[in-house]
Amino acid sequence: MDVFLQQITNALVLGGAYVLVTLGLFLIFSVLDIPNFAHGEMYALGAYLQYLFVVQIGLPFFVALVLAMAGTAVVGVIMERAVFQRLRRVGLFPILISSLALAIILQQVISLIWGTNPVTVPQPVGGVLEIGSIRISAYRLIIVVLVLLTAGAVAWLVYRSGFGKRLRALAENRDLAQLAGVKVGLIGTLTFALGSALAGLAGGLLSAAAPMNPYMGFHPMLVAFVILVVVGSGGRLGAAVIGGFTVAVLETLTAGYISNALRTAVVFAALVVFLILRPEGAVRGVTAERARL
Amino acid sequence: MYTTSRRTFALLSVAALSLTACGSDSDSGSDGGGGSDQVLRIAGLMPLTGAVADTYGASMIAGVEYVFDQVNDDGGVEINGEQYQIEFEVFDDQCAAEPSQAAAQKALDEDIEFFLGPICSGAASAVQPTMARSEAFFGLAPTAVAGPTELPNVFRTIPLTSAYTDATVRWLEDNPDISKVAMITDQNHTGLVGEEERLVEEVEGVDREVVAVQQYQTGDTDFRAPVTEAIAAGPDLYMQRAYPAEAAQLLQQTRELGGEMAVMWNAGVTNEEVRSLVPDEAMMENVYQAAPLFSLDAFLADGSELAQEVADGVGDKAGAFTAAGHDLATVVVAGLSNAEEATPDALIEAMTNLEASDLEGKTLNTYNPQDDGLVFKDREVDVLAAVVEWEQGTGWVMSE
Amino acid sequence: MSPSQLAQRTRGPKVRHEGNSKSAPPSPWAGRWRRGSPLWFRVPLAIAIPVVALLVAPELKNSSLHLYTEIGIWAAVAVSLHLVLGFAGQLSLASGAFLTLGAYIGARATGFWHWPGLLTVAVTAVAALVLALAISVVIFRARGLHFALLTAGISLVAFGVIVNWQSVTGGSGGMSTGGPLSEGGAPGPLTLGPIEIDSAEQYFVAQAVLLSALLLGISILMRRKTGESWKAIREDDVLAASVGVNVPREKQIAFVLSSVLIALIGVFHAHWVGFVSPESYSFAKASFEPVAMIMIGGIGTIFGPVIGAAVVVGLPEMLRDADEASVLIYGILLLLVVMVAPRGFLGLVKSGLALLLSLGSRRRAPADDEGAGPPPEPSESGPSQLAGKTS
Repeated sequence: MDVFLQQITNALVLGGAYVLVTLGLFLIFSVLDIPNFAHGEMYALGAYLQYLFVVQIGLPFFVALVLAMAGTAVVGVIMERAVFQRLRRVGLFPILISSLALAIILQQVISLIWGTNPVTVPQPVGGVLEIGSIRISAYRLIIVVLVLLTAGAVAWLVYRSGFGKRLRALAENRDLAQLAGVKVGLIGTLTFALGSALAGLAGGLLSAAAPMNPYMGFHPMLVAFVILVVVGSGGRLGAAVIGGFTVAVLETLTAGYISNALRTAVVFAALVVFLILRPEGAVRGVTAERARL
Repeated sequence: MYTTSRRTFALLSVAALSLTACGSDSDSGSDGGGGSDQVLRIAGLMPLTGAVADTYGASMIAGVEYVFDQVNDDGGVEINGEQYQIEFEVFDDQCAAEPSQAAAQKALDEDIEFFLGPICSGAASAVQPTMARSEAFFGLAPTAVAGPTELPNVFRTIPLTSAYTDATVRWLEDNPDISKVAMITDQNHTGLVGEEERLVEEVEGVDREVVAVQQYQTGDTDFRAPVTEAIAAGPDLYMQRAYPAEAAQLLQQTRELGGEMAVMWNAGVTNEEVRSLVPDEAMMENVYQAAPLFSLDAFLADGSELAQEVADGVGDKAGAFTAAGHDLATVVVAGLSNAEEATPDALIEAMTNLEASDLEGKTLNTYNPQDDGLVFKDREVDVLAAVVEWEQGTGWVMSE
Repeated sequence: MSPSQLAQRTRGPKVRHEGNSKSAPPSPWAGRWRRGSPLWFRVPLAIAIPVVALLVAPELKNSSLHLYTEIGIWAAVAVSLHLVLGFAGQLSLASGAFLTLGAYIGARATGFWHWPGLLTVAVTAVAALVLALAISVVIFRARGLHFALLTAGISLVAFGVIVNWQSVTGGSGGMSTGGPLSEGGAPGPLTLGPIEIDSAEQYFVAQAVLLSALLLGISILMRRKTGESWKAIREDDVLAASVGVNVPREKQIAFVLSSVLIALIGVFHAHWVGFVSPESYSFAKASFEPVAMIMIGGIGTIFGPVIGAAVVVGLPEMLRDADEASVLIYGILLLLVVMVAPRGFLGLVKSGLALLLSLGSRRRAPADDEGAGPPPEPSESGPSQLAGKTS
């Protein structure tokens, strides 16, 4: 039982990363209908910006974190304005391809600037905590707490604030929202910025928890899409949060009890099986092209 | 109109792009020797770009070039009375299967007959068909993958992974308090994977219990699940058969989860890598490494003068594979000096008949004499992998 | 009005091909442009290319042979994938799975079981057929993003199988076509009946034959009813269904045909390289790059993917010293193509030629089609013929 609890604890930080990345993707997809395959690169970029600010420039950790988030938000806005807005009316196919192309471009830019060797960011807080028979490093606990707080803040933003109201209106029906006076372009761009910043935050936090490499964004991005698809159409943000932790637990338990080598394969196999059984996603009768908050 | 101008723009961009492509020309960057001496061209199949270029590639090339520069400065290598300046050119193999084949093809097209590398297992396996079809000479280090040396034209100057196992077993015999052993292996490290079964057998052969055998993929960063499982089995030694980045993570997470047991690595992690990858040196307490000595670290700690000379000559390009590169180049030069002419066949014959005494004092590693005092047996060498231990404040020191 | 024309009008502004002049009767060239060169031109071309290859092969350096063969193989993959992408109109990322299937069966069969090449080819075709049929039954219920994710998932699962099923596939270390790697085997030849393909030159010529045959076969197929219905599905599958095209079945046929072809190319690739390993068939290389080749070269055309393959495979070669940047560059190219020239390189060429031709004639240059104004005359060949055909 101890080992089981420890495994669950192990899954928390992994889950935290997945949650933030998924929330970001969820927002972007629900509001803007953009399946952004480059979202994983926002995560990687966040990590590398954190490395830039902390290790290469020498700023304090949490200051750098804010800057890293801002940086990814800016890059996200550029992508949204320069590419996705223009392709919005053309169709889904060009958007899919262009987001894949953007993912490659960002990945390559990162490897050309920082090289492909794994690098690390020193943890701002050291030490290991023992809670009962569970051990967790202090910094990782901080990550989990920050993730939950952020998820809460995002939920507040989306469900309780004025901005959130406009955002949900836009997600529901873009044209109606526009008619009702919502500045759809601006809200859309802000949402994209927020979504990217969330992924950047995840990257920045995780940069001190594990070494980074330019390809680190691929797996969290796929997990986010898995959750989007399974929970997606019609699910609330809370479902995305639960989804993130669930996938992490699934991976960790597979790795711990079945075989470590199978951990990622299990997730993809689950995706394939799910889509075979429910090609439309979690809620019947909704097309694959929209999600609602 | 709108669409026409978009098309025009597109046409112009394509035209511009194709112009830039025509512009770039390659620079072979070779070091030509003196005027009247003959030139011996040697190709290096090593990564200049790609994931491991900065660590493995650069350090390997540094070791090789150090030797060749020394030889050239001393007048070149003498083959059957004639002086040859060595021209060493690296063809980027990116440590990957297809690029390495393309690189080998390119070098063969330029009629180069002598090759050093590939250095990575996947690349070596991929080039194996080319080696089989060609008459060129290939010298391999430090890839330990089985197969290429079955071919008559391929020699390897570092020991196989069986040497890692032998070193580990020797160390276990010296440490009878280690009774339970857990191990985790990188699935992408073909050499270590192939050796796993024998390692388990040998460990059990010295009456130790193997309590966990686990795997992971290169690039994984979270090992807490298998580590938790391993710790629960209560081992005295946790063998982390991994590349440096993952090894450092494994160690960190092991310590974090309360694993205080001895840890043994197999990757040839250098002092510098430890310092940059492991945040807290205290974690390196009770950490060992059983691997052939690919880098200069252990030699320097041991006080080797040769290692100091190489380190001075190579400067900050020294790294994970510098000693391996140095020794490979040195062995090949020794072979060339004994060869009857500057052809692959002659070199093969010279290498086959190379005696351990020919290498004395010239190589960093010690090449033990095999049958008839020769260096090579079936084109493989007998070099001990050593077990080193991390000493706080110093780095790796010999443990035996 | 044909279903495809109706689709064009309701879809709104889009870069479309040239036949939609509003002021004068469209010239018979309009349909010609869309079809490309006629069959009586293509057949001798398909014969001439391998002959030229045969004559030229001894003159080429090994590295050139290597490059051209590589381009040819990936061109064949892209052309086959295009059946699903360009004609059925869905973003399939499953090519990696089938390439892997063919390559590993090929390597195992020749290296370990010592089968004759024809048997290997037959078994691969059957295996791919069965797998593709099974998959195609379910995947087309998904669309758009879900289809892309599902096919991507299939490729990723295949990759996982290859890496983990070590006893059969050799895991990360890979396998040789010459038997166990540890025995140092030279790669086994690909024996197709009396023909034995072993040297670089032979592979080069064989690849030329295969590619030409493939292109010719597809050219013929596109001119038949199946091809026409595929084009209609690409325009708008709901409307195609409304005129009697059995959309699910046609998509299935396209997918199965594409997958079997790709698997067979996998067999060829494995034998040419002499060695298979998971990294050669990674998601990026085997599933994504063919898509990039299709887009860059020109989606909707038959030769487009060939040009795209030449660009993507040839780029690192062209860039020499800067080849670190080659992936970045083709990523940028792809983005540019999607945003500015969705018809790809070949589309640009066709537009350029059409522009030149129309500048030389009295008729007005093809205006952009905003969907306003009188509807174009339904005289184009293609989907309009479909309207008149009974199924």
